[in-house]
Amino acid sequence: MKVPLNWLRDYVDLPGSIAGLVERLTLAGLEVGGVRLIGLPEPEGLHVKQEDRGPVWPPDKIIIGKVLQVERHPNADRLTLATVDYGAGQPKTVVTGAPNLKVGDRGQKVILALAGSVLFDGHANEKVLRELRPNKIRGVSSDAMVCSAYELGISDEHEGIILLEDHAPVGTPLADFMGDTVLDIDVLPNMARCMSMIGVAREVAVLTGQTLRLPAADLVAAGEPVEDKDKVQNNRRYR
Amino acid sequence: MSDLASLEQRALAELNACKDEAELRAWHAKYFGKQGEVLLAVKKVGEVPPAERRAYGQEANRIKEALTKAYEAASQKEKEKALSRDLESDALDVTLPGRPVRRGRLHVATQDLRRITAIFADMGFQVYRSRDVEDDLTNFELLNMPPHHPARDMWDTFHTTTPGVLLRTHTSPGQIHVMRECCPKPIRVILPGMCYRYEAITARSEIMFQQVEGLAVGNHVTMTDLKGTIIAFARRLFGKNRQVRIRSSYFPFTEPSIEVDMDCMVCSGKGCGLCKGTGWLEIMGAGMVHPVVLKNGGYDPERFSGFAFGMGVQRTSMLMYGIDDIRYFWANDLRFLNQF
Repeated sequence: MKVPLNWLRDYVDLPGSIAGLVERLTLAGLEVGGVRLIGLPEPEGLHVKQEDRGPVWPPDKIIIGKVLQVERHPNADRLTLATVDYGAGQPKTVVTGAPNLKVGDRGQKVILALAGSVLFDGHANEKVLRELRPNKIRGVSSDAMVCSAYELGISDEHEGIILLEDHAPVGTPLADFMGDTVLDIDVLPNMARCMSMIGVAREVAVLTGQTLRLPAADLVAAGEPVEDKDKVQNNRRYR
Repeated sequence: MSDLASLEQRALAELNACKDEAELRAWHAKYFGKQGEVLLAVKKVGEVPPAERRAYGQEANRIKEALTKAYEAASQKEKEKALSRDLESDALDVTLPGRPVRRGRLHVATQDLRRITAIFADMGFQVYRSRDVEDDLTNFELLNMPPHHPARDMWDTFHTTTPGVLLRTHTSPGQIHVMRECCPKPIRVILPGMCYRYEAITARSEIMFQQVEGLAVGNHVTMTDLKGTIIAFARRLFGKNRQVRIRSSYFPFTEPSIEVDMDCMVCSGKGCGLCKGTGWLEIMGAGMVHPVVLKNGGYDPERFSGFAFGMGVQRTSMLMYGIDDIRYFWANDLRFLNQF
C-alpha cells in the first residue's frame, strides 16, 4: 500500500516528524517497508534507500512557469524555443526538444529548472544526476530548461515534458506543489481495513491522537432497490 | 647371384639405419610385405636357368632367414629401448607420502542449527521432529486458516498431485502434532526442520530453508515468558548486550502476534548497510498461541495458554556472518562451505 503523505493530510493532521510517524506505524503492525521521496530532501532521522531518493527540487530553482510563446529554432528542425514566464523578472527563453510543445503553442503550465538545479540527465544512458549549466545549443544560448518526469525523478517516463493542470500557480516552487513523501506500508491480512487512504488515516488518527476528517459523502438514493438482485455467496467470517 | 648379394647388403644397411618402431615396420613392409623384395626374389627361382636354380634357391632362402632374424633382433632391441624409456619417464617414487584425504565438515546450516538447538536445550526445550510432507489440514486449517482464508496468501505453497497433500510451508504444523501427542501435559519443545515455498529464488528467498519453531504450553504461560525466552536466546546467540524490540504483527495461529527485531550488531542501532539504515534486524516472528489452535491441539484455552515463535536458520546465519545472498547455502560451492 503506497501512501502519499500529502494525500493522507486530506484526512488527518500528521505529526511534525516523519521518522516518528514511520516508527509509530511500524510498531503498531503497519510496517513501513520503504519510503520514497518525490523532490524532497531526506527527512530528519529517517534513512531512505538510494534508489528511493531522487533529485531534490530547490524552491528557488525549480519553479512552475507558463509558456508565453513557442518559436522555431533558427538552426535546428527538431528543437524549438519556448519563452516561459516563471513569475520573477524577465521571462526565460529556453531551447527544448520536447515533442509536446509545438511552434505556436501558448498558455501551457510547465516546470522550469534554472541553472544550478541537479536533475537526472535525460541524455545519458544510465540514471545519473547532473547539474544544469548555461549552454549554447545550436547557436542559441539557454540557461534553464523545461522538465520531463524522468528528469525530475518522478517516473521513468521520458516522452515529452510535464504539462501541469491549468490551475497550477505560476511562480510557485514545484516542491511546494508536487513534492511528496510516499510510505510503502506492508499491509498484513488482518489489516485489510488499511488498504485505503481513509483506512490508513483512521489508524494514524488513533495512534497520534488526532481527529479523522472524513470527506463529505452526500449520496442520493435513486433508481430501483437492489435487494434480491443477488445473493452473497461466500459470507465467511474469520476470527 | 650378385643381385641377391646386393639385395642382402642393401636390406641390412637400411635395417641398421632404422631409428624407431615405425621405421622398422616400414622396412618390414618393403622387404617382406606382399610385394616385398625378398619374397619376390624367392619367387623368382622359377625364372632362373635349371643349372643355377638350386644354388639360387638355397642362397635366396638363406638371405630370407638371415634378414628375418636380423629384423627380429632389431625389433626386440627397439622394444627393450621403448620399455626402458617408459620406465624412466613413469618412474614412481613409492616412498613419497600419500595425498591427504580431504576431510569433510558439518555444513554451516547444521552447525548453526545445532548452536540454536543447544541454547534452547539449556532452557529446557526438547527437540521434536515433525514431517516434511504435510496435509492441508495440519499446515493450514488446524492453524486457524480455513479454506479461502486471506492469510493463506502469506505462504506460496508446493502442492502435490494428491489433493490436500503438500510440502510444509512452515514448521508450525508440528505444533499440532506435538500438542496432540502430549495433551494434557505441559509442553516445551522446539521443532527444527526444512520448509518449502513455491517462490522465485532470489538473494533474499529460497524455495527451501530451515526453520526453528518453538512452542510452550502450560497453565500460566504469558507474554513475559515469551519475551524473556527470546531475549535470553538473542543474547546467547548474538552477544550479551543485544537489545530486542517487539512489534505488533499478524499470524493466523497466534493472538496477539509480534515480530522481534534486534539492534544491529554491526552498528549497534546507529544505522548501517546490514540493517539498511534502520538500526534494527528482524530475527523472528512470535506470539501467544491462538485459542483455536490450542483447542485443535486438544488443550482447553480457558485453562491453558502458550507461546510460539519461529525463525529462519539461514536468515540467522546471514545475520551472524554478514552473508548477503541466501543462494550460497545450497549451491555446494566449496569456496563458501570451507569458510565455516
